[in-house]
Amino acid sequence: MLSIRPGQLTVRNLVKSFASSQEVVQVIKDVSFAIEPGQFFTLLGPSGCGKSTTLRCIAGLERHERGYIAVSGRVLADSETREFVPASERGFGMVFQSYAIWPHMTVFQNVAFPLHANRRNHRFSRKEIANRVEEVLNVVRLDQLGDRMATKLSGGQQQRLAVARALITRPELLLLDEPLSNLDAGLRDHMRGELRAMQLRTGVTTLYVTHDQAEAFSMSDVIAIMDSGNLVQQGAPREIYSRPSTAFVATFVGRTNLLSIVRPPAPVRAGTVSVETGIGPVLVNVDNNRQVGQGDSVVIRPEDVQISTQAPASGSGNVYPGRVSQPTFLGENVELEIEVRGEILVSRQHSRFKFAQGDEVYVELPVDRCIVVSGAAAGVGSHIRGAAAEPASPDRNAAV
Amino acid sequence: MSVIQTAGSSRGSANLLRLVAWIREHWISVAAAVVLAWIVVVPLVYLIIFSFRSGTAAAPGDWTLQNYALVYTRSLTYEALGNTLIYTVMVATLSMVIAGALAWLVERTDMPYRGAAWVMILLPIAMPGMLSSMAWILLLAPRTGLINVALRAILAPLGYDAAVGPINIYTMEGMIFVESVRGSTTLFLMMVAGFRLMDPALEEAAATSGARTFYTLRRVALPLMLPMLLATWMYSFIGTLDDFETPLLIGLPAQVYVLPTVIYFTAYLSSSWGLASAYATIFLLIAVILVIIYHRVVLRRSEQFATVSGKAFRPRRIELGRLRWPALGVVIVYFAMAVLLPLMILILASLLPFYRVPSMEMFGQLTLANYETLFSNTRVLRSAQNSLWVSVWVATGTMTLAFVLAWVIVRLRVPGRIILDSIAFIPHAIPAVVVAVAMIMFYLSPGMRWTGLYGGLIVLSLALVTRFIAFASRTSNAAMTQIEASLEEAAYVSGARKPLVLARILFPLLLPAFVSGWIFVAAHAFRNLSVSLLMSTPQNELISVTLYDLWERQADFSMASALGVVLVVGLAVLTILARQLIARGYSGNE
Ligand SMILES: Nc1ncnc2c1ncn2[C@@H]1O[C@H](COP(=O)(O)OP(=O)(O)O)[C@@H](O)[C@H]1O
Ligand SMILES: [Mg+2]
Repeated sequence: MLSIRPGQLTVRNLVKSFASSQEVVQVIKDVSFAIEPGQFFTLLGPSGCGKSTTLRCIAGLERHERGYIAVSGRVLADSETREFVPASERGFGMVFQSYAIWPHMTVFQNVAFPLHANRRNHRFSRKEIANRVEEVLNVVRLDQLGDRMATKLSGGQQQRLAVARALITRPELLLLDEPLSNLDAGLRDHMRGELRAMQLRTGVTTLYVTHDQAEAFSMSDVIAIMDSGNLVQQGAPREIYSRPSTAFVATFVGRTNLLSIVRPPAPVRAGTVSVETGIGPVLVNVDNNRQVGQGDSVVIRPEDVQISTQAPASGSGNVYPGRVSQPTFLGENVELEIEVRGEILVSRQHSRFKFAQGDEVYVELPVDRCIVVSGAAAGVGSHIRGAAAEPASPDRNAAV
Repeated sequence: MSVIQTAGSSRGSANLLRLVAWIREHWISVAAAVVLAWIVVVPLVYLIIFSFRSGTAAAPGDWTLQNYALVYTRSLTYEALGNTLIYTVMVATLSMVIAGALAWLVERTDMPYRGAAWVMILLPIAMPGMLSSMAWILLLAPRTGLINVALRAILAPLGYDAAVGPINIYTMEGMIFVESVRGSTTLFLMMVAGFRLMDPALEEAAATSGARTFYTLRRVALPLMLPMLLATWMYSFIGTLDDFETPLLIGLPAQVYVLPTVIYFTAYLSSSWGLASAYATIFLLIAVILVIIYHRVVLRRSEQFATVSGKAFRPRRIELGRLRWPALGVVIVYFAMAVLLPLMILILASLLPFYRVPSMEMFGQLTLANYETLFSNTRVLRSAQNSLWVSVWVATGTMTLAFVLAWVIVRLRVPGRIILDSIAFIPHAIPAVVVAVAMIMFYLSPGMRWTGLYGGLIVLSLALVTRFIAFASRTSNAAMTQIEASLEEAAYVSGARKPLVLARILFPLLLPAFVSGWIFVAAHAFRNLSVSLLMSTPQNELISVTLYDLWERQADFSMASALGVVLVVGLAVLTILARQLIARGYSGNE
């Protein structure tokens, strides 16, 4: 088994701009985070938000203009001291979106290249190289294929080859830039599991970049959401999903009902306030130190939106009469669009519940499921957001 | 006071340190820039400076405008300018008409045997200009030309009884004819590309709206193609301006001087180097202005106009009907004039013990003796050896420099890369004779004379690198852009530094492009006459110079023909080899 000593990454106040012919665009605006040894850390965000650029700054492929990057206490780049360690001296493993497999080499040569390239640090004997390559090809299950030309591999195999090449030097840090986005859907799901298993086996500290929330949720220890060059929220997958801090995070991660708060809240009891939204007043729990105001929104996930044909007896407060405007059968689930006072709420129910268009229903929003987030929906009337709105097109990765 | 000085000097030394650190980090870029400046900028600047000085190259005298005054007052200047204008305009126009007709026939009509036609049209590439001229002299020389002899025999019954003519190759018309036929091949390729880029939808739209074929051609296709035609014409114009071999072989005996031959004449034959530099500077200016117009105005406009549809399409071919076979006849006539007749007369001449007016008896005297003499002639063998040495080193040096430059320009994105790119492109505008004169001046100058390089193969090779660097640099820039940056980045992240990335990743990936460029440069360096003749000394004689010498000074036409035939065969083999290598290289990748 590969014995990797996992590193710890610190990124502080990273700023990076690109100058085009007309203007200078700040692509990363003051990003800070830390990754603990052995963690699987994912940068998640829409295309063009600056994920790849962040990764490339850490790899040393881009020069940032401000900020501090260190691994396990070793300073790699610091704008204060003008220190900068080039990519070739950082000793990381990296998997590129396009895999960047060298087409003129065999599988073995591809994997062994980093050992040759690092000869100035350590001279490996022929036998050592062969052993190491075999070991790492075992980890990614490409053993027996060493003599094959790299271009003769299938997409999934090329992807694993890229991982093997990134791991051969037993790096402190593994960087992956959308490694699954070039695979077919089925293979992508499979490789997701394999990648995570491999990471757990080797224990390598991993920084993973993706725009696909399913990937991020299923693999990560920690997710950091990125939006237009800023880190907006960081936390465990479950926390990100159930406790989004902004409307952007709520809508980017999963499908969401987003209700804009139109009037400042009135306190109801300790820890609970009533806010006015398009569907009427909504009771929500708030922290004592959280100021709720106009410009904020209430978020509730479709699976938390309860539906009944009779008015619920409990009277928890958030109950609204509405009408089913569009039921969509999804197999296991049904997704119902319900019109409440001219606004549309989405509810997801088990498909044993049968509803038809035009059914009069009561909608209940459990108070502890209603989250107040800062920010509002981007456009009027488009308050249902989620992964479906995120274009599935592969991330445009600016070639440098 | 002293405090300020210390502060100043410490800031100075800090700047120096930073500069040293920068150079250390970017040493590959710096080295490439220095080499490029050394072979392109320095000689040209020196040439321009020298044109304002009196004295000789070895001992420049005072500053003076004398050289330009002399240029201005010489009637030869105006005669040469006039001739150059007529020659270039006529050749550009005529070869475009030929190339356009051929391209139209193979691309847009249902002419039979179009595949064979392609080969027939492209084969002339293997024919060096000098040999075309020689062959046509053998065919059309007023007294001894084979065609003239035959014509006289035919015309005699009709009362034609002169001992010369009826056709005289030693005229402006002769030069134009030979060069137009020879120069059509490259234009043909450009026109075919143009035809393919045009969106046929527009053309078909006109056709389906009831317009007749000819009307479509005139009112729709022609206006669409006009910018492309202009670009092709101008390309040919600039190329012809640079042409040296036809004006030398046919123009000189005909006393029709154009700018390149005037420079050759002034520099080499009458050793007036100051005057030659003034001519060269003026010539350089004209060429640079033309190239700038070509790139800034003509090419840009033609790109705008060429309605590139991007999708592959099958153009509707025009049905020629009864004219199908005559159309093929046109291609065959072209092939005969460009390759077949010249090659046949060269082979015939090479088999004769000595060349004389063709007659029937001479078929009894055919012999291979010339070839035997050729392969045992020490001078020929020595210059062949020189040529081989020069081509190998020039091709290797040019392609290596071009690839490093492409890497610096396309990938490393160092500041000032636009300037580097432009400098690498300047030689495209420098006429060959100007390169030669500049190199001679520079290496004869007091500053460089001590190196003893002048007159040797090294300086000659440097001049040829300058000559071909623009072509090589364009090819390698294109090849470099094809290679995904992440392939290199993956190597950096793996721990490789720049030299290793160049050697292990980039070089192998670019090898097919490198090899095809290498062969192109090697073949062209091998057959080059313009640079090598001007720079020739007894120590650095190349095979092309030997060939010219056999022809012009020793008037040994048979020997010259034998050498010419060997050259054509050698170059053809090299070209075929190149094509195969390139084909293999591309299919082997991906
Ligand atoms: N080399 C570059 N030059 C100019 N702009 C760039 C360059 N690389 C990236 N960008 C721009 O920076 C932004 C962020 O890019 P990137 O980090 O690749 O986004 P992501 O990986 O999150 O999709 C994009 O708008 C992109 O166009
Ligand atoms: Mg990206």
